[in-house]
Amino acid sequence: MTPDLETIQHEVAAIVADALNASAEDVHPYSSLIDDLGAESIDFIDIVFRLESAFHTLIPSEELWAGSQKIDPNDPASIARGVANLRASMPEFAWDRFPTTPAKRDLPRLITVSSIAAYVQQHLATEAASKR
Amino acid sequence: MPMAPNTSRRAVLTGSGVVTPFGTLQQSADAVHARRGAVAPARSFDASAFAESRAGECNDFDARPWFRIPKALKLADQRTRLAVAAAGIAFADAGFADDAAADAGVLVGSSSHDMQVPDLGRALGSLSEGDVNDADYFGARILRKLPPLWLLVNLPNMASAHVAIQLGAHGPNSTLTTDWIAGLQALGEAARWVADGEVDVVIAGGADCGVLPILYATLDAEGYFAGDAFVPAEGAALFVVEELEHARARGARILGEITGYASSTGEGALARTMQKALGAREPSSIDLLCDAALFARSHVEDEQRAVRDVFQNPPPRFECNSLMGFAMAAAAPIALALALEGTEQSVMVNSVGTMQQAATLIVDRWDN
Amino acid sequence: MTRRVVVTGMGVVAPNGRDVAAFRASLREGRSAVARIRRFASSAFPTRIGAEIDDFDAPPSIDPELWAQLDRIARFALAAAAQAVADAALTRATDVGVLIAAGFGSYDHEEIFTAAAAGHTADGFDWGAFRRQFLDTVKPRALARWSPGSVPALVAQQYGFTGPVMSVMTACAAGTQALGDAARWIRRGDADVVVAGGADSELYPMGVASFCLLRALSRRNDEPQQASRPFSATRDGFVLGEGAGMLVLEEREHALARGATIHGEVLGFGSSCDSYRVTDPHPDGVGATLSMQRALKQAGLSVSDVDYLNAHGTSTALNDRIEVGAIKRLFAEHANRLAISSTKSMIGHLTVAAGAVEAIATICSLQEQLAHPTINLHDPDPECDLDFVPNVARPMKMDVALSNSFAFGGQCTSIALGRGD
Repeated sequence: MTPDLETIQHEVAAIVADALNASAEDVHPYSSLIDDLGAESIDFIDIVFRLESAFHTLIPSEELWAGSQKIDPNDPASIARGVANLRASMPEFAWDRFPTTPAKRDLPRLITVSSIAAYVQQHLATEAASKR
Repeated sequence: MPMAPNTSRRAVLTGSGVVTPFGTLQQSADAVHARRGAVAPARSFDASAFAESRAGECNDFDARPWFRIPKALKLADQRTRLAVAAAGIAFADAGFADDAAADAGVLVGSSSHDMQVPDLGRALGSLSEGDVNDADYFGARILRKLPPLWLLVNLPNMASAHVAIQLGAHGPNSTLTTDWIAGLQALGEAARWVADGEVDVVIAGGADCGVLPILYATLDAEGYFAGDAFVPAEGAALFVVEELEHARARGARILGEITGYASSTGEGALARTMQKALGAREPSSIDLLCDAALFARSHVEDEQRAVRDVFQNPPPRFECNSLMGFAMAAAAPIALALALEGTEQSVMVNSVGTMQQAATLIVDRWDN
Repeated sequence: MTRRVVVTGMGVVAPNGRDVAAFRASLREGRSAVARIRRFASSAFPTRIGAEIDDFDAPPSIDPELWAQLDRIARFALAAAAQAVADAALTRATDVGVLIAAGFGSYDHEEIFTAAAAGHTADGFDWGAFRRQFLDTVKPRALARWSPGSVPALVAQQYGFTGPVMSVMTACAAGTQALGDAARWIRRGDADVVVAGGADSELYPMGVASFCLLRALSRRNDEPQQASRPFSATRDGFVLGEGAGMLVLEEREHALARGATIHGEVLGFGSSCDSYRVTDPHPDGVGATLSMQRALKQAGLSVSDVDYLNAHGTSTALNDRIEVGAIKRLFAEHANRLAISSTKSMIGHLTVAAGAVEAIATICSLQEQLAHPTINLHDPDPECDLDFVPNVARPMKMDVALSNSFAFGGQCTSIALGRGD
């Protein structure tokens, strides 16, 4: 059975706090792992490993940044569309410091506890469906 | 055309940072003065099955206060943590503000890295599950189950990298791995950096952890534990090595000046390094001699012979390895820091490695 | 009196050449040595390519019994050192220093992995079982193989050299670091002659796995020769290579007095640290800029004196762009007049040995007045818009060259090299 979003979000927050040595009160659902919590590229490799161990699954890390959005990072139109959707779906994110026309390299800055949790939920559901 | 080296630049020690199984520099000096021991059954792993089950461990050591960027802790094994703490202590001891390290160099001598043996075991599974010498099995297991940042924890250059990252030091940066002489060598080489005009301030010395399962297994296999004199330990002693005029200009307290240094290898290496470090100077001008390592009988005899070759009347001797264990590449720098707590004017420190590497450093105390 | 440091001997064991002559020819022709990994079955690995050295002979001077006990890294080091010592005709010298960067501390020990598995239990770790297994399977020279510090001692003892000995380990910057430190020894008068360089092989299961885990390696397994493509828009990581490069550095008057052939000169060296993050380089290339600047300062040169730059050029997007940014920042307009190439496009990343082997490549370039190409550069990254001598070697006037090596951890090294006349 796939855990519910709240359970996943809780687990993801704990993993992120641990991987980035951040105290629990600094990790909010919409904190940017890069801009707010100081994550560097290797931290995402670490976080993916921890997510895989915690949720007993395999995660292609390049999917992580887009959250539940399907974005083709090599297609500017797809980036624009995906980011517009994200602006609508996560108004709590600090959009004021995010570029209005984002490039591929800006996308990882969108990774939050919330976006990871949404991705994990979708990923586990897809996996469960394919096993059925 | 290369510029002429500035030969008038002298390298002095203006601060020290020490972490030993006894604790701080003061606690270590007190314990050594009272000839108290710090060797006890190893705690960081169960060493009871090994030919030597004791260790000199820094049980009360907490690296966290020294990691201004706490996230880096997960990538720091014990020698790196010891290095970062000792560097922070030394820098403050030299009278520098926290944010004054931008141009400082870092040069750490270290011989160990942790290897995370239990993590490797967990990733590989037990021997009955598959043949770890089969690359297909090995690859599949390691790639799926080993924490992915394993390499970054174990790279030999990480101690000096983390020191620089925590202090914000952009100066020359290097790690020496010349076995157990690396820490003493770092001090000698740092003096060369300063003399050569590359940098005015270098945080240099040794940080090492000998209390590692893989090292116990290796030393066990090679018979190092056959006597009872060799007990691995962990610790660090880093110094601020500074250009004399730079130190004077800021009114720094000067612990001493590095006045002699040499390294060599092969038959007779230690006698050679003592002679080269002395140069034209009279051997009788040395007031205290810090012994290299007191473990295998053959080592002790070699060292005695080398000392007799160089000194007609050997000076008083100092050693602390028999009390706190042998902190590998950090042992000689720790001995230097403790010797400088005494009153002798001229201190010679020796260090030897597993393959006949030898280094000698001479420090002359300053009366401020 | 200024003590100048010249190069009087070179030895190389590289994937595309087992000696300097063969290496030189391969560089000129832009020959890639990357192929499917042959040393072990790599099908379980996402990266199955590397620049390997299949077999090479023990130098005749080395005891076969000792050779049989040595690991790959020590063999590469001894073989390259033998070439360099012979090239410099150091037949009777004894007061010679040895300064070598060798390996990461050998994770290439099957006995460690077998013992780790033996100790693994469902609820912890059995250190007794670990020890028993280790002692059962341990091979000779375990302590020496564990320590990178054993390799310079081994080389020194092979020739009876009694000068200073040192092992330096700034990971992927270490090969250049070794040369810079050796030049300082000579300048300061610690030695007149030093055998210096780097040796490494991370092409064994744990080595490849540890870089795969960091997602640092190219996965272009079906086109191995095109996999290492520094500064290309379509690069996807670096390729591991293996080997060694050793140089005999010598005080110039000492070399002239004994009639030695001078191949080139070490003009200056610079070391720095990004002090930013463990793997990500500083976005402004602080460390890289500083190391290049310091090398030129020590050499007494200005940026416009530099004709050629041998880039670190790993073929990872982040590293390539940061290096280009640092070059542009330091060289300003002159950046467009530099010829820049990445030796790694042909032989992959020789990790600890890279800087030493690339210094030899650079000296070959200075001798031949020919910049070797950056191969596989057909679709440059728009952010890497300098002259990388794409695909074909180029004859050019070249008096001063700079070679860069950077490390995980943020250590940056640069060395300025000249023709030695």
